[in-house]
Amino acid sequence: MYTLNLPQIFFNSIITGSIFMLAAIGLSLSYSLSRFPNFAHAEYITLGGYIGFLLFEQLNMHLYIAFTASFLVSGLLSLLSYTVLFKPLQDRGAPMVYLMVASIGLGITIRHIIQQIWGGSPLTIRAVWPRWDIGPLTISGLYLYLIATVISTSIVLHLLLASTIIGKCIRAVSDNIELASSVGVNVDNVSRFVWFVGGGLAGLSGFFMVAIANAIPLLGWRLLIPAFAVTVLGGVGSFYGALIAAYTLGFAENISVIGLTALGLPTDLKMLVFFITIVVVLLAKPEGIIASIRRGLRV
Amino acid sequence: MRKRNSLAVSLAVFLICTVVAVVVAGIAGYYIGHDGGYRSGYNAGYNEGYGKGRDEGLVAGAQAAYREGYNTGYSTGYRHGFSNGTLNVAKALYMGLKDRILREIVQVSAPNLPSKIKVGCLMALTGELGPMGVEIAKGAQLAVALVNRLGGVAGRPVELILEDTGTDPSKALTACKKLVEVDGVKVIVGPMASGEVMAVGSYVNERKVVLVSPSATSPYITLNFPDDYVFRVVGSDTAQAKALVKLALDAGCRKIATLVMDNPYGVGIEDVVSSLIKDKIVLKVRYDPKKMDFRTELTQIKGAGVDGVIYVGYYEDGRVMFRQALELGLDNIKWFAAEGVYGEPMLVVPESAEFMYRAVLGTRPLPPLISFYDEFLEEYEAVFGAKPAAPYIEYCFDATLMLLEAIAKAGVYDGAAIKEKLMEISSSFLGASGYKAFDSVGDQLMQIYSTWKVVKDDGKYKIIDVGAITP
Repeated sequence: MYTLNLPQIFFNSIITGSIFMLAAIGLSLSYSLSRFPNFAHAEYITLGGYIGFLLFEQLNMHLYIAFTASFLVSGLLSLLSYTVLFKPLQDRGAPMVYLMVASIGLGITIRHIIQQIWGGSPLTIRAVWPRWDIGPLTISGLYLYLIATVISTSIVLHLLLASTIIGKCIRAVSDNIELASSVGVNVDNVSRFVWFVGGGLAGLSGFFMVAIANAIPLLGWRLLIPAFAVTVLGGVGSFYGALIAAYTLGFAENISVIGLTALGLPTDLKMLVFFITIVVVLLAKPEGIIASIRRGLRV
Repeated sequence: MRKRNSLAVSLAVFLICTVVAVVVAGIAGYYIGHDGGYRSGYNAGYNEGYGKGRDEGLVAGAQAAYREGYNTGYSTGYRHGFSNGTLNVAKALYMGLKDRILREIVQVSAPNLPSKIKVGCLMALTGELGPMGVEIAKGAQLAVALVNRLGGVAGRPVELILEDTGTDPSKALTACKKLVEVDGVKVIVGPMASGEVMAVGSYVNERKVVLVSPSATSPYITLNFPDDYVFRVVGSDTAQAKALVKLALDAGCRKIATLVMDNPYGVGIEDVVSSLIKDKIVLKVRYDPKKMDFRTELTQIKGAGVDGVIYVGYYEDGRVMFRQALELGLDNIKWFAAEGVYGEPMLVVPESAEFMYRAVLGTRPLPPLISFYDEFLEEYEAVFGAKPAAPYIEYCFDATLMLLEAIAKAGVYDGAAIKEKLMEISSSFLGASGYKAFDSVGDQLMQIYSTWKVVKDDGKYKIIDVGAITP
């Protein structure tokens, strides 16, 4: 009865996947280094979004300034929460569950502070982005920024992890923390660096979500579930795994929308399809996608 | 030889005689048989034809009689109804709000009423609708305060018992059970959301507790609880869905997609729309309003090659939807939107406003032509020291007053009696939110919708009404 606009659906999936990737990288890397799931990660996403809104919409600053500030502020918050809260707890020998509960508490605190400052109702960036029609495909300027961000982030992270000292240190700590510190890797510095960059990238994903949709206090919380899914599917701590998993889930989500609509079902169920994908993949490859593709080289 | 001859002759004669006899007998038999067959055939045919003719004659006669009776009855009923209605409204207008309360609620003799009249109130004071519910509850508080100030229901003070539903259907049911079983209320104002009304509907029916919702609009409420204890003082979306369909058909749309939020409000309208124009609906999309990314849903609509979209959403998702629809170039088809996206907050985002300006025509319940809103506003400002800060407060006020009047008229604090009187008084009840007559299933009888669109004036966007529809 209707024709599928495949290029557009492909493009939409890329956008969804890009947001997932930015949101998940930090979660995955900090999980592998500090060995607990950080629920406060959601709030780094939200804060980045609100900082972007503050500078770009309320103070009318340039897009690039707002963009950079989102990265820096969320990165600093992430760094701060690691040095002030999680690190001291870990030094006192707190097990994973304690750290996890602490992160949930921290997340709720930050979320309510954000709600006190900006209020609970949705806030929208009013900017009008340029738009191009290329054949069946419609592209807005905002999405080009998002794609450019993701490509440059991927290249920088790849180079960082593959060919710099700090990258090697990150991989070493992620593989075996005791061994790494015994050969002289400064675990603390490596962790701080990773928490900062991961938080900053989460902030960027929040910034783009706010530009695409609205700023709401639950913004990050809603992105956290896909972010965890990406982490699990890609393999904890694996950058390339997260990359593949983010786009796999981006496609799964958008294609499920088509399937569900064709079946006459509501599209809320796309989360379900999404998790079925994860369950199926994990049943087949319990160690995550990338580990089974490139066993041995864990990055 | 002669003897042989005579034998031959007599044989011939015999043969001829036999042939003649057989022929004669055959002919006679034919006629006799024919006659008999004819007769019996005739009889059978006659009987059958008679029976059928009589039956059809009876039906045709009955139909003609029915038609005639129907026409006469209709026109007489219409005349009576019309004059009665006019009279009712005129009477209500003449009395004024406070005078009506005094005459119909306060100065009534009802010796069988308890010494204190309890009114339950279910509102979402927390949760998603919390900010709105706190305001709407003020409508009930104001009505109770006003009646108490003027002397109470037949001299008895009224007590309002307010319970929070937390914008959650299951919590609404718990709160409703508390009101009925612990406090022993027989009348309840609320709840606000359609989902909450659905959750408590069966329970209040079973316990014969009269419930009036100020703001639940889903058609499912009528479908699930027709002719019962569930009432509402706001129009059902069945009528709004009809208005949307009429708009789309008048605009010449042949292939239509529905795009609705996945909740009783959105799906309710979708259901009615698709039952009305099943053959024209090409694609039905139900979306999660919390998701905030609708590009794939919109791409689906773009690919379906439709010339019209019937859309149901709220502000938060609506702004994103329209912005992304503009992004994807969906402003070249006609959009018809329900009242959820009517209002200034939609115009805050330029892309959403521009899209509405280019492509959207909408419906919303027409504000009442006559009402006692001014009197309500005066009271409200005197009590709360501010202007009403949410929609539906005056509806909640009316719902409460109607229940109190029904209690006064019933003379007993009993659900069945109150329900009966509520139907009765509604036909002449003019409140702060207009004329409130119920139809036979407890929905609003008077439902007129206005059509609106967005215009651009000096580079600024504005919403204006452009017509009215009576579905």
